[in-house]
Amino acid sequence: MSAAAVYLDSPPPDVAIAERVAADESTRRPALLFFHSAVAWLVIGSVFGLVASLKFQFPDWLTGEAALTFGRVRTVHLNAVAYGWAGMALVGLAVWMIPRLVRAPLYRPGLAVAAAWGWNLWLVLGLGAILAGWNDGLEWLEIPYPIDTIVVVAGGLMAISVLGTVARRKTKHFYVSVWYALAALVWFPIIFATANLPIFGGVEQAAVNWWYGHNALGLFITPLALAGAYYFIPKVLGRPIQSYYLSLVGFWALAFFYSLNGIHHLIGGPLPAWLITTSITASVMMVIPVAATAVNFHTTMVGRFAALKHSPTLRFVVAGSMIYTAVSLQGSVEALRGFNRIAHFTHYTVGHAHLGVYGFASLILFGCLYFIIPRLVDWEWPSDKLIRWHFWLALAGVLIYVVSLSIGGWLQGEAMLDASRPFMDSVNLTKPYLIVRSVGGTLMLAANVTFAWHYWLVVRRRGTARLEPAWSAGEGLA
Amino acid sequence: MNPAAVYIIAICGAGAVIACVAFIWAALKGEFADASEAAFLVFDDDDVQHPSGEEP
Repeated sequence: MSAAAVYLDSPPPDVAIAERVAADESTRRPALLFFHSAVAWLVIGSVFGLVASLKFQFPDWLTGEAALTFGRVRTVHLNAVAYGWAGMALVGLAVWMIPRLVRAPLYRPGLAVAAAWGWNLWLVLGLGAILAGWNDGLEWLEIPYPIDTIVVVAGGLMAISVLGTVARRKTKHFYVSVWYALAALVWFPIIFATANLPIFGGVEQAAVNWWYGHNALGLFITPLALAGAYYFIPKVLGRPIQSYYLSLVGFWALAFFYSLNGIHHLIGGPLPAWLITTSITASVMMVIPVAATAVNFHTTMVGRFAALKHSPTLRFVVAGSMIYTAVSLQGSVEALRGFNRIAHFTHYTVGHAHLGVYGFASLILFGCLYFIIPRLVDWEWPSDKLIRWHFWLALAGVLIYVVSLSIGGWLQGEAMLDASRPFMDSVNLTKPYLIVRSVGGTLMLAANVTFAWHYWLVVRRRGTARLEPAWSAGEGLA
Repeated sequence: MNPAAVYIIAICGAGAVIACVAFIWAALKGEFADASEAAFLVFDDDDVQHPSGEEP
């Protein structure tokens, strides 16, 4: 088949270039605003996270002010990294990527810019409220719901811009990344608005709370991060994804199975056994989309792993994708009653959550940003050393963090189930693991600060202008 | 029936209906008929390594 026949969906090269340039021009302002904000929230959220972790070693530290007590500091950490860093960076990724993939400029970019400002306002007011002691008392939904109306409006503006872009697409098909990104941008407002309705009480509220909490990860963060991986792995390698049909199987299986997963957080709770069993079944069924995605990424990479050495984008994205497989299979096992009985209500779950949001989603996001930012600011990353430091600090940090909490959490769970042991045993035995957790957290903070500093340098166009990526040794991999 | 179960099943049921409608819509639009062509949409003039000409 000729090259022209391969690109049935494509216009002539000169038209394609003009469309790509127009798409990039239209997304420059909103995408940069989302990314600048995300990096700022990453640093803020990481500092709060480390402070919360260190309070396990120094419980009397920063207790003079109510705003700096553990309950508020830890909550600000979660909201800043989940909605500020991951949320804003992933939406920025979608804003940048979708117009390229549908070959149409972003529809009304001003709406996306307004959405970014609205999202920031929501977080500033929401985190301020949490520090002041005003919150909804529901995990992942702590920001008071009157303030949440701001992000609902921002989300609406974003939806108009993205859906307007897709409506003007010039391609016959959606690339799988567009499926994932569009679905996430539709799912998130639905689950967020539903969970915030002030009509639930008691056990219904707990059920809806965890239905939302898990779906925020699985129907918002996960699909957007996978959209990035499906975009950049083929693009950097210059090789299409091994099986496009398998990628669609992965997408639709996630769409059908994920939404009931969250109830496995309430195993043993006052809910009907059949509802919890349904959730466990759905959690195990997630093996299907995860396996489809893992097989597809791996077979696309086979024979090309040497490219990881030269491409930071590929290195971060592939590491994040491998961790996606691991954390998802771990999640399916955690949903089983026998496993859950020990691991639930322990530090084990905290390790799992960090493996998901940092090891999987954040590593992929870092990789995406290493590709995107030079194209947005017309300046190369100044230092290959900083990129290498960033990668190894982030990977080592999250692995140390997760391994220590997995072992400590498991021992904690066994101790709590042993009626012959005093409860304090389950607390004291975790102390060394929590120290190691703080070490891992310190490395992750160092990685994030390294990245933020490098980001500042490239955005400010500091360092020597390069004709080609600093890290590639002239081999042309970004 | 426990009200919590009703809420969750109703919400997820609505989601499943939407997903089914979206799936059927996509199928009727021919999205899956020759979808392997879509694998090449990721490539443009800004690729790091250009596609090797592999067929869809």
